[in-house]
Amino acid sequence: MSIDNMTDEVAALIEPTGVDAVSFRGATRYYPKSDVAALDGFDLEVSAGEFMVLVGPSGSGKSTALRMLAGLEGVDAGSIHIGDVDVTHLPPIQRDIAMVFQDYALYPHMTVAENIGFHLKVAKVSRAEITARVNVTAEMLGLTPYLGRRPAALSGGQRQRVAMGRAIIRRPKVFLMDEPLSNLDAKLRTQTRNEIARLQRDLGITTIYVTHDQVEAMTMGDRVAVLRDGALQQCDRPKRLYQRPANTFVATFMGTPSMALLDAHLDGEAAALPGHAPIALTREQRAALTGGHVIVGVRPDAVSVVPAGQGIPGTVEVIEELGNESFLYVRAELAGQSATIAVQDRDGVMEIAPGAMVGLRVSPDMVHLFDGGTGLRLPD
Amino acid sequence: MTDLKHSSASSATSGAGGATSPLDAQRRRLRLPFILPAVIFYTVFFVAPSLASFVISLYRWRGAGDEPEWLGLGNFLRLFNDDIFRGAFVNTLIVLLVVGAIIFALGFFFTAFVAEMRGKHLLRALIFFPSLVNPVVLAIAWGFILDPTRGALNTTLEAIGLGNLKQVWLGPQLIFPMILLTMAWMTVGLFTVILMAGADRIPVSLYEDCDLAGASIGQRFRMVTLPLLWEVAAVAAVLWVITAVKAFEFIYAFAGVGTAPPRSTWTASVYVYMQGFGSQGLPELGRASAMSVVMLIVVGVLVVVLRRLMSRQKVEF
Amino acid sequence: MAVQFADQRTSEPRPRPRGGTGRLRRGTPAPLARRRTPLRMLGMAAVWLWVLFNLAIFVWMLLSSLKSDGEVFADPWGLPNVWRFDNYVRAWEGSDLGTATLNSVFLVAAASVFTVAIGALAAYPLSRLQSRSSNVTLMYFVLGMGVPLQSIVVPAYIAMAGLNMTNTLGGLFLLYVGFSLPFTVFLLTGFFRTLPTRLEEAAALDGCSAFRTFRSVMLPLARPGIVTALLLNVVSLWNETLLALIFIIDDGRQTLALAILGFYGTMLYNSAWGALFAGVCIVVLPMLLLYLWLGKNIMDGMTLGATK
Repeated sequence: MSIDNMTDEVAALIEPTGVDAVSFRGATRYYPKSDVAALDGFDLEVSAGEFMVLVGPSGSGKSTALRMLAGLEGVDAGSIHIGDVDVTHLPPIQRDIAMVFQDYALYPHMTVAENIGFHLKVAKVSRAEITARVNVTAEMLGLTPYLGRRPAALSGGQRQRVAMGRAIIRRPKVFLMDEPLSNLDAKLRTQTRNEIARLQRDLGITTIYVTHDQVEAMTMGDRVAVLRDGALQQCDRPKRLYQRPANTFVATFMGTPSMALLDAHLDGEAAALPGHAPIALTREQRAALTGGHVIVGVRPDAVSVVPAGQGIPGTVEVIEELGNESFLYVRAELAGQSATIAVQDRDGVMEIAPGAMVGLRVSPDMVHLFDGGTGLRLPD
Repeated sequence: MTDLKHSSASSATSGAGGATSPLDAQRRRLRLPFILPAVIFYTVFFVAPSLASFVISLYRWRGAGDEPEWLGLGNFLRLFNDDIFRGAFVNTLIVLLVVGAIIFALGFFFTAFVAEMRGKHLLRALIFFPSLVNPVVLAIAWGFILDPTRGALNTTLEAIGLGNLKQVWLGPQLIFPMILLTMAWMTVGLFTVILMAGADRIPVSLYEDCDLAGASIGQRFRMVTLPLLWEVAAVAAVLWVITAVKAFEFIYAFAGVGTAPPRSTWTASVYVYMQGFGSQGLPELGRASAMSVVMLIVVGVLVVVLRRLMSRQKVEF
Repeated sequence: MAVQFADQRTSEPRPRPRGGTGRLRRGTPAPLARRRTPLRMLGMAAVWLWVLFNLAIFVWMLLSSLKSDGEVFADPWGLPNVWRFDNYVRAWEGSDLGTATLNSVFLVAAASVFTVAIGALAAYPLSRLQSRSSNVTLMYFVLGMGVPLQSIVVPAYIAMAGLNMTNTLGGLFLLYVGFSLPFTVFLLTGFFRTLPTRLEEAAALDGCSAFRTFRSVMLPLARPGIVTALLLNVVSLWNETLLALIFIIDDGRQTLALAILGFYGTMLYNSAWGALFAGVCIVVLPMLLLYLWLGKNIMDGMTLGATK
């Protein structure tokens, strides 16, 4: 069943009662006995109905931000707002949010139906309405045959859907999801990823989704916020993040294989890369430099292999064959530095074995340039 | 995952930050009404009497109707000059050391072998069962078995032609050694099961690696089980100190069939009972309290010493 | 737009693989099965000897309770000539074990349930709030586990005498609750700590008050721990003798342990050995049944403190 072909009465049972924007304003969190902020002056505006993904390595503060919004974590400085309401000190239930936990947090002693309907029961909704809403929700998620089962008797994917159902049935103003797919196997994860994205678009509920998986971030979010060490690095549409990473961290975090970073120094009006033609810098770029160093970021599609003796010399270390495409990982030696550069083999025609000596040529118009001192992107 | 774990235990007490989350604030309101009943019952009916025994130990008091008379440390001084007390004190130490040595030796022995045997759950259950039986009942059973004239042990020895091994098991010479042996028998189960539970937590993969390396059962035990069991054994040793010092029912029932137990068998706990309640004459409540204070101090000292002796770097696995 | 999730099929049973020969071999031991060295054989024999000895003692107790008084000594290892089930009637009626059993049942049930009830209430917040004051409170309870019971008997006796509660089961009840609480709180705090905090967070988001979270989510989850705590209290109180010996004088108010001790004391005069063993079995059998039924809980609980 889908929302489109539901009758109005049935659809009314699951459609959200309203959507609201969320904003973090300088939200800061220190854990007890720690002097390092888990989240430091975090500012983020999520507009109503938007799918916002928070991504970052573990310890980056993304889960902390989510839990602060849920009211599970205290706020040491700054504030958090849902719509016009400052929720910084409100108990969780008054925030009108629903959350899907990484481990689903299903109540093991309750059946699927009881799990999904538990919030309504606590809220003293009539039994008839609970039953009706549980049934619609279960139908939507394909859980109807399992309503009488306990979580222990469900597969991982089914449990994940129960957790989703428990959130959906509440018709909250905001959905929070904390790595909801990380306990699923790879195939199921891809499928469920798309379903969640579609479900969110259908229901139009403001959603904040935490993950460490950049593929999830790129494919699901309307916008993606990248965090590191408790600080926001960049927040933008996925495509922009990939095309115009604001700093070297975002540049290497988004995209697989990772962007290679090569040190170059300013030589006149260009960045000189040892063994390679200089890469010209614009006047704005030169003006933005804080020192004489430039970092040249190279994604696999910005490099091509040329015969040994030309370009940057390197040795093929590993060949990663993915079926539809393949990558060469080349250990490149550039006067004083050595870096592993991934090269995309677009046509799969390179007949090269590991250990082979090759040359690399970078396409100057496809590189990303960063300041050597701050790591920030130079203006385009 | 790890950052979530300690965050859930957060509170507003310390550190650079750590504002109370709205969820914690909810929990906090429950604390007092939830904890108070247990604290009150425990304080009034256990802690207060324990502390009061310190006060009473400073008086001579012969029970209801008698006016308590201040003695200061007199009770304690008298204790140390009292042969019966010193005998009881030494007996307590003997129980602690001899029985302790037996149960830990057997406990480790069983742990090493039972783990490798078929039906180990059944074996474990049967080794453990005596721990669930009232020591009084076990003392009665042993009384019947060891009865010098008609007891099962002597009659059986006779029947199988080993009559010359017959002994007056419950006579003055042998009764205390018999108490030690039977106490060891009845206590081994609990401590074995504790050690086994500790051994169960050792990852199977370590033993599988031993198999691949061709280690013998002795090597497996010495090189894997024992080091990883050390911490559990340390806790078990503390538990044994407490158990041994307060052991009363078994000795009382074993040695005193209808009469007072012979003095050679008295331990500190029997002494407290006999001084305070059991003797025919007037009770010596002050002296009994002094004895219990001594026991409490002994337990405290031994626990601290044991923890020092057995403390090692914590092994995480 | 259809919201359709995958993974609908995972719950269906998979076809079992079949062996080619038609006959399935099961439980083939790994090729590295350990060698049977003499040391191993000796050790295993010793374990079996010990276990059989334990078993023999209890079978002997049971058989003795069904023998005539003379047979108990005359033929300790044989089966009874005549199965004297009336030993139990003699013990139950003649020696007042009946009253004592009922006293014990009520006292033990009341004290265990009450202890676990207030112990669980205290253990829940203690397991959750990591503040200094809760740690101190927990430590306060744990220290009680190291205090020998002998240390409280004299003052407790004096206090109970002042309240006219010596020689009453009510007085015993209060003391039982007091001395059972340290271990109960310790055990249950450890147990509550093993329960995921994530579920409490989910409950908070679902709108549960802290009390509702305790009642609807944590308490049902803690049931195994609560059962274990109950069992351990039942075992320890059923077998408790020292306090009963000191506080109870009246035959009509004796607990079972006290009654059997008294029975044993008079045995010198009445030689009712068969009945004495019947009494012994009345003490032991309830524990045995409990053990057969819920033995794993008991063993786990008793070892929990040392291995956690």
